[in-house]
Amino acid sequence: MNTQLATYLPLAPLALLVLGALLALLLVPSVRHGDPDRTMAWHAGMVNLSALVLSVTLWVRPVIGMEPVGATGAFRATYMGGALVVDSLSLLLVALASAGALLVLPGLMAAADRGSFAHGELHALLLFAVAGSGVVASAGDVFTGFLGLEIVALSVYGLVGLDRSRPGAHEAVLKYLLLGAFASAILLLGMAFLFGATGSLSLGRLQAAAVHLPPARHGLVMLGLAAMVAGLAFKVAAAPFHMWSADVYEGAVTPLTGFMATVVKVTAFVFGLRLLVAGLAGVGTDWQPLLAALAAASMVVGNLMAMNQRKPKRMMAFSSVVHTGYMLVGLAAAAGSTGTDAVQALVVYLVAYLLTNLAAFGCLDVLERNGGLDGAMQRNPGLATAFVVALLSLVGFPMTAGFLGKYMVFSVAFGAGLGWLGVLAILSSMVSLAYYMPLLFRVLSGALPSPAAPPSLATGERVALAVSSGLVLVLGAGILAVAGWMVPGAHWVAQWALQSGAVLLP
Amino acid sequence: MALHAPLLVAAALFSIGVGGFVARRNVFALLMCIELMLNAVNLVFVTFSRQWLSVEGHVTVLLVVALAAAEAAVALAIVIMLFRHRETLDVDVFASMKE
Repeated sequence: MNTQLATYLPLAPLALLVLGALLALLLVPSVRHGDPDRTMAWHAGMVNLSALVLSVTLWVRPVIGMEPVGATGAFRATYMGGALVVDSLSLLLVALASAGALLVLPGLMAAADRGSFAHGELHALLLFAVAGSGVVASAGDVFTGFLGLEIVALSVYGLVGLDRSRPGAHEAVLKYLLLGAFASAILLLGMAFLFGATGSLSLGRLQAAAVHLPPARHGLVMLGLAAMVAGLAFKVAAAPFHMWSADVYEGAVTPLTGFMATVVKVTAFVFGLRLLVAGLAGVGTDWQPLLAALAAASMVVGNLMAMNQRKPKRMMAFSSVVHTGYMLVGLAAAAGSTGTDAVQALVVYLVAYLLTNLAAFGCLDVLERNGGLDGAMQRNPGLATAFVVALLSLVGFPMTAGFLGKYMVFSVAFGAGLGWLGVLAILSSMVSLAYYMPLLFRVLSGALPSPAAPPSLATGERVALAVSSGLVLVLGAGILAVAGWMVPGAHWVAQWALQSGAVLLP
Repeated sequence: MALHAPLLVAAALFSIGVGGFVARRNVFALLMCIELMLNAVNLVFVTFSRQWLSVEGHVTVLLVVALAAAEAAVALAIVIMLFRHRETLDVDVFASMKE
């Protein structure tokens, strides 16, 4: 192959996702014979699967054009004058986003099959959301990242609004759209101030400008930083910008809620990592208190609200606000001298959070349409076991992914001099038992509903739930590394996360 | 010195947008307020672009215009759906989800 062309090979996962999404738009009106729904589902599944396989392959075996960074085996390739970057972190996000889309696909198809909405548009919009994640993943420029976030947001507005028969869908999509657009405008204003203070939105030049900032421009940077952090806090549903999340999570079909709570949130966190840790490390002492305050508020408010919810889905929405708080603890810790460790901890937490919540929302979806949670262990032991694993991981029970993530994030908080935040996070995990345990008891020993039919679920859903809850356990076994044991799957995730930290920090 | 004037206009536009977003109850009015805010940001970008003598801000403005158009397309589709469902565009009508 031509070497000039070969240097573009690292962009293959992103290119595949974008082309796959565009092709889906062409397929929707043109596939007429056979079973159009299955064709579209195959298309979406194959594009996501190929993107997943490609990004993992590129991580295992870097190709021409990917220059090594540091001694961890991390690498980076830049394109278009630095506006697009492919490094260890971008490949990880592409892998996570396409894996997330693959795992929610069976649930979404089942929801569409129940007659609520069209298949074709569903798959096209889902592919566009994943492609938007890919753009955020590869952003070497603040504005590129923002465009990626907007592609994700506009696709997800469409996905929430797709299910017209659902009672809460109209309200959910209206709130999400209006508040989302408002937050984007604030985010953009912050970007304009940042541009005014530094003269560029490229992350590389921002990094250099933030280190040698003239005191006269410091105020403008602070203003921009505050606006951008507020806008991002909305995107990740951190308190006090979380009010939309419970209504939107409740109004959307449950598999889609799972997608929003995982892929969309993780994408916004990767944008935050690139903007704050890579771009604005020079003013770390300025943004650390902002993030620490948001983290503390999210943990306190999220816990208080979650305790007062009767519907499991709303409870999960607020529990996800609490988890955002833990992730913000990791991000705040990345401002200090222990930045690489903090980024590694946060990235491991993001992976653990993604897998756990995909399993939890997936199980919740199946259980809720089959007679509720009560006594699920007697009706379908397999499904109930997956749900119990997900719940234990949300609590942070040892040997689950949630414990590994919490252990790493809380330790870096203490290491970075944020001891008070670490203590608050540990207290918050204990308090969270108050709303996870009742759910656990209902599944294990609740009274059986009168017609005790076993839940019906498609093979795809079975596979997706088995994979996500199985991976939660595999990643959770990674805690054995503390005792010097290498656990294959978990070891790779930790290695990938370490390299993500190495490419962000010089 | 000359840069202060456009920045003040932008600040006024943005404030009108935020104020309207908080005060108005019609979906169309809210969307127009968001457009006002985006245009205020565009003005800030152009002003700072002039200050730094760089084209980066100008290019960003063009992309923001494209983004606003995409957002409007999705928003209007959703407005049509809402109107068919409830025959009203008052946002207070869409507030049934509470615990």
